Amino acid sequence: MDDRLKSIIALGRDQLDTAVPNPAVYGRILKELEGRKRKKRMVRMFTAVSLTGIAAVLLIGFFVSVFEKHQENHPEAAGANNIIRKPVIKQTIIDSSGTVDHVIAEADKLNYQNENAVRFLTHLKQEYAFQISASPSKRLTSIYALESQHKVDKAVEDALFEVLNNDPNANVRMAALDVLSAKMHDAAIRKRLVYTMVNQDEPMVQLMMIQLLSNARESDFIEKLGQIINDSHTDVEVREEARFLFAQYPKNLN
Amino acid sequence: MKKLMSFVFMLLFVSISLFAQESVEQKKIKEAQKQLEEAKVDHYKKLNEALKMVGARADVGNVKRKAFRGDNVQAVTYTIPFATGILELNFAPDSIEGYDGKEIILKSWVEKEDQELVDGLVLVNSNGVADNTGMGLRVEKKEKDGFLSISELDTYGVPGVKMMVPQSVKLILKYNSTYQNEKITLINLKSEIDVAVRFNPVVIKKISGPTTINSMYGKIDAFFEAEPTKPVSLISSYGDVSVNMPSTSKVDLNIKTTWGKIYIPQSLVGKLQKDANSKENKEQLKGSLNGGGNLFVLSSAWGKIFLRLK
Repeated sequence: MDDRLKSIIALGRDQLDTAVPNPAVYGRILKELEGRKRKKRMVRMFTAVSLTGIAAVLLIGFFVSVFEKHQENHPEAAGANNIIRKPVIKQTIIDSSGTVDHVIAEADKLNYQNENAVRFLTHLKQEYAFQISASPSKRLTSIYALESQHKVDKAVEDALFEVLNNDPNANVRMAALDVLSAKMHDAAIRKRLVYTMVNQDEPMVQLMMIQLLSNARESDFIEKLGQIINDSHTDVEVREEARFLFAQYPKNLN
Repeated sequence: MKKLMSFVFMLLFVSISLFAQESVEQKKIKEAQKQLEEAKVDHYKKLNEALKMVGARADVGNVKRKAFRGDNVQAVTYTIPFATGILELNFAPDSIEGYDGKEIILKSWVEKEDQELVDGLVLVNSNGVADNTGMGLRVEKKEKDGFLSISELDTYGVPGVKMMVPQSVKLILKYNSTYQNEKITLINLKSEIDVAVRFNPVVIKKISGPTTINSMYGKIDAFFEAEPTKPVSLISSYGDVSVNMPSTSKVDLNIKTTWGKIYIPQSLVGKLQKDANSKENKEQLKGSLNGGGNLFVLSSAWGKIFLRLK
């Protein structure tokens, strides 16, 4: 009975199927169906894109970090080898009693060629009312005023290195080292500190520099320690410290 | 689609494995740094013990020298008119005391027997520079007015010199010899002080001018009767740095040590904080007292730092 009914319906479906659904209801159903299709497509597309994106971001991130590390280890150490020791400026600072202008004039008279030093004096005078000949304590205060700045520009960086290498007062040099040590996230500053460490003629400051840089993982640090050990003019205590660190320095840190 | 997915997962796998490799390397480096730190601590313990022994030996030497002096001595006084300017000392006097005067007065002693032997002669050093004070010191005025230097001729030091200096004179003291390592006391000075010594402990009392002092091995003791109104920087590498000042002092404190310890009054706990910029220094505290004002730096790489407020 059922099979017969099925075959009759199958044969005459078009004739029997005369009812038309409510257009509003039908339209709603169609919209829902289209929405589902769209959602399904979107989900699939999102999955593929997101996965590719994640992978790409991870890869880019990794390669950027590798590149940065490489840059840290091989920075453009411009000026790192340019540390010119000029005892002349030291003498000028001690003997002068005027202002920065006087020091610059004295430096010119003595054919002092280090442009960085003159630039530094001029710059600090303009920017920080720095009076190098006034007193060690004033220099100290001016230098510590730089400590609050997260970034220092190249001229100020040069100035700090000049102070670190040439100021006649060890406390002032230590102040410059303090300010520079707070900027050691900058690979170029670290590199430059390693180079100036060798030429530092104030034993107390040199000791602190060695201490400071022993944890910085600079590629040339061990080589420079070797230079300090072999330099007979270097203070005995400093050489002893360098010798100790040289012996202890783990090979995989360099 | 399957190909794309497998490619993506392959990329992910490569990335993760590379990161994992990186973190293993970091771990190795940290371990190596830890070993280095431990070795350093051990080294500095030994170094401190050695330094104490050296200090003890030097003390014995000084006691012997004093005992040898006995009563057979003759007082020597030398006076230089110098009311204002820069005074540079290249020897280590026992004390430098400021006073309201216009002359620099040097007081010391010489062996009577030595005086008889050298009667009519003058002491010179290997550069041919002669003693012009009668106590083994050379006083020289530099080309510029207002700049006077006093240097020792004897490389073994001139012991027991006491100085009186006009309060307005700026003082520069530089001394590196190992032979004269007794304490140097500076009292009642109002002008600028710049002291750089190697072995001598330094004591300052009633000082009111700008002050920068450093001693590589010596201890630095500072007693401020009144609030410091000028910048102060006291630095020692191996010695302790101790400061006693009024609790009303308005200063910007900057205290740091690498291997030493910092002691501060209970009232300052929580007011001084580690400097956010400085990651390399092991212990560094900064803070303002009573609203701040003058820079006040206390630093000792291997020694202890004591700050007392009264």
